[in-house]
Amino acid sequence: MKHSVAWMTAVAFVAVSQPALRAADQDTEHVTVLPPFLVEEHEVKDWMNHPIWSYAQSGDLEILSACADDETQLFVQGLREQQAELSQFIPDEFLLHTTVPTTIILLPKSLKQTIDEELSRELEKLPAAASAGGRFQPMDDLRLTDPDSSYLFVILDDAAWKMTKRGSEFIFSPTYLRFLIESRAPTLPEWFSTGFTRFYTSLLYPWDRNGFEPDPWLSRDAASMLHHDATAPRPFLPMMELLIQRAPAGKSEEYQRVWEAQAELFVRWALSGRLTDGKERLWRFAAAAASQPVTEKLFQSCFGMDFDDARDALSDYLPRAVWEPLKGPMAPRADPPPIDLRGATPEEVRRIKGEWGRRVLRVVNQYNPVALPLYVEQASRLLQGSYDAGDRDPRLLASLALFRIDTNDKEGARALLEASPAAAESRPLAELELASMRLSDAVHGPAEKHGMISEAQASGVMDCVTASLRQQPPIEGAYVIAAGVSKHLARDPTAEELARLNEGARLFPQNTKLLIEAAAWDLRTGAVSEARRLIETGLWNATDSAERKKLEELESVGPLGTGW
Amino acid sequence: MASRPAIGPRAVGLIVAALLWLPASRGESFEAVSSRVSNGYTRSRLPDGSLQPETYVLREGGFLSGEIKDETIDNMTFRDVEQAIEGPLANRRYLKAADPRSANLVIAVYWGTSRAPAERAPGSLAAQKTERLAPARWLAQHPGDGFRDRGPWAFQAKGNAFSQEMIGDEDATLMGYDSASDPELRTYRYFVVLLAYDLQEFKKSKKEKLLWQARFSIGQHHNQFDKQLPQMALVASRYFGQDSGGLRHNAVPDGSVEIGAVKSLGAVDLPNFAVLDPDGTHVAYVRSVDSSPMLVIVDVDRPERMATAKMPSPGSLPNNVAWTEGGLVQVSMSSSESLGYDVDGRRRKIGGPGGGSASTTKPSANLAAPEIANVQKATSKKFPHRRVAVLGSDSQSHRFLLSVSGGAGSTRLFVLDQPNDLLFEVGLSGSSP
Repeated sequence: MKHSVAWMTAVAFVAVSQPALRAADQDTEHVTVLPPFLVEEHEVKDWMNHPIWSYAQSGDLEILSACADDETQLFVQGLREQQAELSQFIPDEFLLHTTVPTTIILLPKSLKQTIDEELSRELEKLPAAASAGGRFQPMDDLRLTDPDSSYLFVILDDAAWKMTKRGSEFIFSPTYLRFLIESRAPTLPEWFSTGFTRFYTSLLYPWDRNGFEPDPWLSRDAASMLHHDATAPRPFLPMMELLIQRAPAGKSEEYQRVWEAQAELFVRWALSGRLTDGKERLWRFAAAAASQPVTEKLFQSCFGMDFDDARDALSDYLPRAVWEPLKGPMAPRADPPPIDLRGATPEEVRRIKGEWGRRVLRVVNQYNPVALPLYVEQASRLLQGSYDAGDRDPRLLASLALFRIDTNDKEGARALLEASPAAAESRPLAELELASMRLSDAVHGPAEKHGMISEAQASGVMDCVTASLRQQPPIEGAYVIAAGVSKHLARDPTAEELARLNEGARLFPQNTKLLIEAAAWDLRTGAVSEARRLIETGLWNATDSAERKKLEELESVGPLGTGW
Repeated sequence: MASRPAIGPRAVGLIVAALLWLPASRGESFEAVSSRVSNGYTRSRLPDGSLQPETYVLREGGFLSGEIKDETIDNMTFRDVEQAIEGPLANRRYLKAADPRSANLVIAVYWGTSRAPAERAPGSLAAQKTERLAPARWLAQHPGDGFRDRGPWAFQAKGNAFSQEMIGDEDATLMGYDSASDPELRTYRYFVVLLAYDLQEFKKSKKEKLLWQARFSIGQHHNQFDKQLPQMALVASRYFGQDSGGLRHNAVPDGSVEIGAVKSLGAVDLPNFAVLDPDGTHVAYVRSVDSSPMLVIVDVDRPERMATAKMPSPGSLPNNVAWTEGGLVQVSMSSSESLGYDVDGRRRKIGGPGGGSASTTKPSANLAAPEIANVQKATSKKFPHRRVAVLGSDSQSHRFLLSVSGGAGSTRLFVLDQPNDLLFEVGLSGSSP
């Protein structure tokens, strides 16, 4: 980076108070302050510290860091170790994985004089970097997520970090872990994400203590009383009220607190080793509960006991859980190799900042639409500017195409993506945007009679859909587009196409429309048992009365009335 | 209720009290039970939902005595133990095989006395007296079955290991505890361990395949093994062949009580011993602790304010508990004495300043039938496999005191806070194995 370079930091806050817009200050430093989603362009004087960006791509991470190399290395090491720890007590398949690397923008707190006062104040409000108990809980400071990838802005308290080597006290923030769990498809039930996340935050540290703190239950007093007398009173929910898909709605605050605490207790009990194969039973049950109605029969098939016995067992375990730390298992300590850090190129800095700026638009539009043009201009300057300067990195092209779509320049986006297949391949989201545009064209200009699309038109769409589904995570939109293609073809779906639709319905059971489409095709092609399963799941999930009615109609037609 | 005896509530209360608090030399309240299944073992069910019977042959695993002479266990033979556990096994549809060779299971039985930490001095090893199975005896008892070749010796090896382990730090694990530092292990405990192996698999492959195991124990203090064993086994039998989900504690009826009688009476007479105050904030109930009646007063909303009080009347038993208008708990004793307690468990004079006199609680009998039916309907959904009895409510009919029975061990007391649809488990009372 050159001295005195103009640099930009874009930060999005989920909850921000100040709606005021103070645009284009006239002072010499050209500070533009745009709360609530601050984008700052700051001319840094020569004598000031200024960010020198380093860059690394390592596995599923892409790092753009303004921290010193050793701090960045320590951060990545802590991150890697925590990922390894996590893999010891939650199956990999229960967490979100993205083929597109997660991008982390790492900024040292010591450089905060280079960012404006408004942003500094907002950063001070962030609880993550110095949370209760002194653990470093990053990865939730500022996160902007697309269906195929995430960008994170992490503020590192470099002074404390360096002194205490806090890489060894790294722990994912609870909300970030929840995000990883809840973004997995099919979505795991909320009792699991809540229970597991709470349980995870009781992880003991330093790590060689090898385990988890006792269950905090509802309060220290309540836990202490239970420790003193195992028969002490406690609010306690029946299992059928605990094991619901979504957090209880319309209940008292006290009820919700009990629900959350009991969800943690349930996870802890299953992982405590007190139940034969408890861990495997929990995984099996949680995975099943993500895609089918939770019944006592399902529970019994996983845990070998009915709801009442499980409730009693859980309640009996509580007095022990509140005083007994739980042992690991923890990952064997291994020092991950250092990442290959180097100075970031101007193209990399612009691409990453530009993509961040693009992602911010969505939030700005929601919370402060009047400021949108300024943000659009800044993102354009970075992305289009880089393109105009000759950068043809497929990731830049994909970002630029997505930016154009976000700013209603679909033709411009399409031209980019059609001209550069590598761009679409680099981002499943871009691939699906292209598929969507192609499908729209096909439907509005069908090549077959009766408004049906041709095989060529269909394959133009499905090539993109298939390419996107080769990457992780599966994106709901891909299956919706696939269902749209089947709907407009003059033939029934092939076995392969039907399998894809059913896969989509299984992965996204909350999408009742998708589920209805798949079940209808199943019925038409005689796949009755699959149709029945989907309809049952749909009826379990559906909240919309029209969709429910459609499902009931499907349930009553054809062989379903008699054959199942 | 079909099993309600045709006698007045007060008389029944007295009987229950008598059953619960008979002589102090007997009757620890809680038994620790831990059971596990392995190798994919599950019980099949018949079309009517009942358990598919499985046959077994029992096999003596070993007896481990304590250092202190205890005739209640030292004089027990394997045959005595066998007789005590046959009934409880049958409760879970494990039936003794007419032909040992065709049995589904061979169940190895170990019993004995654990040793307290103070006994674990190295010098005490020699003092251990372990009775081990004589292989010849096994062969004589079970001629021609698949264990002839190696069975007795295989199990003998286990028996040796078992006896060695019992004097080491593995006591806890063997009795189903997680840790030897568990406070319950500071005192001697009678224990029984059942290990159920697949006999047919053994005959076929000569491999021992453990299908389930059950470990149950009870404090030696105030108990007699020969008297308590049948009840211990009966209480533990609820978990035979299934996973208990860790160590469970269940009330064991006193050794002199007929199990059948306790089953019926436990459900009938709890109302006299658990009451909700008119504000719906406190529950008072009596439970047996170390064979003595103990008054427990629970603050439903503030669990840390739980209070207990020992009943100070030797030879006199509580037969009713009520709340007075002055907010005191009034315990009526069989000696016609009335004891008063405040919510902190301190003795107070009934009728004294602020003491009030009469109970203002609404006993279940005074609740309107539709009200009871509604609460029972709501709570039966919450406890699909239990018997729920509505014992009373607060004056606003917002909170209801429930007894829930039918599971393993003790009847549990709950308060249903109807406006919040929230259940509070407030204590254990009575026994219904």
